[in-house]
Amino acid sequence: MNAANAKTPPRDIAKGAQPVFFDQPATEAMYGMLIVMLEEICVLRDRIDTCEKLGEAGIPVTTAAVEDFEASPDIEQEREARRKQLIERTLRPVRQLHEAAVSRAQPQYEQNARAVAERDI
Amino acid sequence: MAATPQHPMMPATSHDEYARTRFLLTFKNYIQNDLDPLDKELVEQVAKPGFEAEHGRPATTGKDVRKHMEAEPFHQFWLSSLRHQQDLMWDNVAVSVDRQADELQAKFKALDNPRGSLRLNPDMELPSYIRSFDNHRMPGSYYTETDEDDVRAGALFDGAAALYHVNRNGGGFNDARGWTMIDHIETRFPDLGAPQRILDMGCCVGHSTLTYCEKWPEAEVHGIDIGAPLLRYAHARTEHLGYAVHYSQQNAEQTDFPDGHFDLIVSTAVIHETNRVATQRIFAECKRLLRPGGVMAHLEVPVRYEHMGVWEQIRADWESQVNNEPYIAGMARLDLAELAREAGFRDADAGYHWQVPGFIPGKQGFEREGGPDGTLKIGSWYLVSGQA
Repeated sequence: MNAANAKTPPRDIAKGAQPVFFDQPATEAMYGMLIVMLEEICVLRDRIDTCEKLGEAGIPVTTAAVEDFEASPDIEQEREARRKQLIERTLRPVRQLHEAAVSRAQPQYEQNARAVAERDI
Repeated sequence: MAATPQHPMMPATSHDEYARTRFLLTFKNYIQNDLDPLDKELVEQVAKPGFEAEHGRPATTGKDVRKHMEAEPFHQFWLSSLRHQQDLMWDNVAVSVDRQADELQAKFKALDNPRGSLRLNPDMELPSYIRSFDNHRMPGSYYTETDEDDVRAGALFDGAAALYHVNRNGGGFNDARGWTMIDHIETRFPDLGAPQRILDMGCCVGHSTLTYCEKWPEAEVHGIDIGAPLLRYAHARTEHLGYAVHYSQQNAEQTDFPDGHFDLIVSTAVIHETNRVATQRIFAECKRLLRPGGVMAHLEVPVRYEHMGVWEQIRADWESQVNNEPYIAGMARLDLAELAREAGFRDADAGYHWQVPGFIPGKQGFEREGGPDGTLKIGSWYLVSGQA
């Protein structure tokens, strides 16, 4: 490519709303970064799985062999289950925030908590 | 395994690019199946009682509970999850498309003896509702050109649609909206017969346009859109798939076609990306372009505020306020059938039409009522149609 047909670099941030939902803008950014990292962990895990499957089949592990590998529906299903489990585990603290909010909204929550605490002591 | 492109213009995916799409699909499904119900529970158990305690009346709208919901850390994560999965989707596809930009462009340039045609207008002014922000957070939107003969925006849109709407909008061809449109027209206007000239407004990469070619092979099919890179891609995709469509770069509010030129004018998921004034102008333009007795039909997302529960309104508000589709909230409150009547259409009506091919067993045809208990009618589209 020469200067005459040099391309304009495409935008990688959408024009428009850049909302901050969390109390701190940094939290918003960190959560976005965490999801990208989570994605790349899953990508690496799938790639390791492909390498293992190639090894089991006696095929030399090369870049081309990885690219050509076709996962069977069973393998796809295993990978899907593993991804879902990792997402569930990563977001457990988020689900705990839901649990905390719903529990506190129960009129009996404080009373029950005290009663349990007292019995336990 | 790399997903197999279904036509030569579809961007291919490497091992890792495919793995990224699989992750994001899992994450999208996780939000929808696991987090959405928790967010809805928060509305019911925390925000609604909170609003009622403060205002002495029950909450009835998403707006009522917004303050209470946005103070909840779980809801903040829910909102942010939706936003980041959307941004990551475009980013994933862009990485893949940019890697093979030269090959895709070469396939456009290599077209010869086309069955259809492509007419671009570099002087066309972009409407403000397109130029002001990037719809559904797609960086660069439909129109940004990165090169001469650029097809990038089309490849980006098609790649995202094929990889992420897999089972929802008709598979890799993403054509379920077109088939739903056809079913709607046959249901509502059985006397129209086979249209000879069809116009698809806001045709994008031609996902729905090609269903009209398939259904009515004798018809002359036209597609207009505002984005040049979309139209180049649409033209190449259409030619490679063996259909004939005449694409041109035009604003649907005012086209250069003669009066009474078309038997059928349609759009799919376009109106919500315009605005109120543009909707009226588009309906008026349809009236001008249709022969007497011709049919206009616009298919939209199945979102109506008068039918939705409080949580469903919050979900629709996200599309409007975060996903850069600001007019959804306005359009989904407008009486679209009345607007069509005002534009001179007779037998104008609006309602939900179940998707064809259906994926909700037993659901088919046209209905006016909303979902039970304010739920969204997932698996349907909202259509407004009338006869000139």
